[in-house]
Amino acid sequence: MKLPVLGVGMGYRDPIAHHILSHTAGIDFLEITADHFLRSTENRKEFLDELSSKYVLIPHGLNLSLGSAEGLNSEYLQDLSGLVKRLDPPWWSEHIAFTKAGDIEIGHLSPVPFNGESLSAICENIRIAREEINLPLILENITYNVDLPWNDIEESKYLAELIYRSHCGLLLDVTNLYINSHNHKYDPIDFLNNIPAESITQLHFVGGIEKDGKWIDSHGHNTQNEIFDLIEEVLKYAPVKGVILERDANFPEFDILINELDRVRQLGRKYDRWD
Amino acid sequence: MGLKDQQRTLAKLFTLDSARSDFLSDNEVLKEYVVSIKDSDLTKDQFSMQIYEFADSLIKKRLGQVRQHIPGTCYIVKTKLAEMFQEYAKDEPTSGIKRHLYDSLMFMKYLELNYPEFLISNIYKSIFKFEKIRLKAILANRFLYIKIFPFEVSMALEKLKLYDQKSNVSLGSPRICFWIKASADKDVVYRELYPRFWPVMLTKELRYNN
Repeated sequence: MKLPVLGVGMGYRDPIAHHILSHTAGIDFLEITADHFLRSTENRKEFLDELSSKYVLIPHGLNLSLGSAEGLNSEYLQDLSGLVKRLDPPWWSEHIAFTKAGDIEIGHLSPVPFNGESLSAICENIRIAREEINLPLILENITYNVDLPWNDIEESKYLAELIYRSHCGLLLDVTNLYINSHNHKYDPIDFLNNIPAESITQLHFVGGIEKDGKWIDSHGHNTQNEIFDLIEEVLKYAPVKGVILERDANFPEFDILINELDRVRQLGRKYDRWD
Repeated sequence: MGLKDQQRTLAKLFTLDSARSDFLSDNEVLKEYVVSIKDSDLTKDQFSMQIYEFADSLIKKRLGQVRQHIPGTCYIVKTKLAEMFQEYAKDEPTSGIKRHLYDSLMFMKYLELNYPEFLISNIYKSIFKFEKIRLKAILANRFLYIKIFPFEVSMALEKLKLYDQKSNVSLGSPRICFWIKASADKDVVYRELYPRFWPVMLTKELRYNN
């Protein structure tokens, strides 16, 4: 399926709602965190409709737990499906992670081992999710600080295989790639070269922070030049359809966020990714 | 050990301090779990450290969310907040779409039970009560609550923060506060009134001495 080019936008967050609603010229599209709109009140639904009248909205799930060996939570899937159908987006996204096991909800994206068993589990969960949500799904790479002892292939090769087997696109979080490459000591360009270019549908980016020699995915800092450089490498390599600034906290003046979007927009134009 | 068991073990290690202590202090179990599974260059010390880092980052994330929902309560416990939250959360995982709200409410209950000394002041007690009612209203399917507070409780936190360095701050006149929620898909309606005539004992503005 041919997906539309959306350009450069940002993740919708309540604390910056009024800026987002009044800066439509500088933001091409929005990504909403699905969980923030599930089982919401009528006012919240009306607000979502207002956002939807101004922007294309991409729903981004947090807790579907596609990596769970125990399968999906059908109640959560139903809720998510209702939201996605309400928005009818060109695609939706979730993480390559698990967030629940047994009777515990972790509340954090947790890494799956890079091996065949987890690949099969995710592919089966994606098959079930697609029965409910018949729209293109793209999968996001996460940061991880735990080296699981059951990994038996490289992360990039694992992602490539997952994309091949599941027929999903990739939501490449460039900041996560930068952080993982630094913390786990690999070359992000080698990583990129292992991923089929045409699968990279959307990007995430935001600033991180370095502490005691390790990078942390804070979602609360301005984007560093090294991350913009890596975004350029990705935009050069892949026919990306959309890029989202994923700032969650410690919000600066809104113009700083708009400038970050403009900077990425210019990079995309350089490689003819959008007008 | 299959993926299902691996994930169940990891979920416990990430969220339960007791599981971490038992598991990671047992050298034999840990050795079996980490080292003998494959020829990995990951040592058990490294693995333990990574698990603790993950758990710590999860607790910090939860605390950040709780701060947003009960800023007044967090202000009351001041520098003890991180320590108290860690103590509360270490064996108390959260669940559900509204996990942040439940986490906030459970933390308040924990404070009430274990640290009542922080709630001796009438001002702090009122702020705490105000935030607790607000959380309960949001979480309820239907809710109606009316309470008189001896000062402008909805603005108290801003005033306390603003004038924390001063010794004497007016917290405003008494208020009658209403919370109404008609059904689960409606927002909570909150109103406060400040009638002109009050019983004598309530007409004096409360003052805050830090």
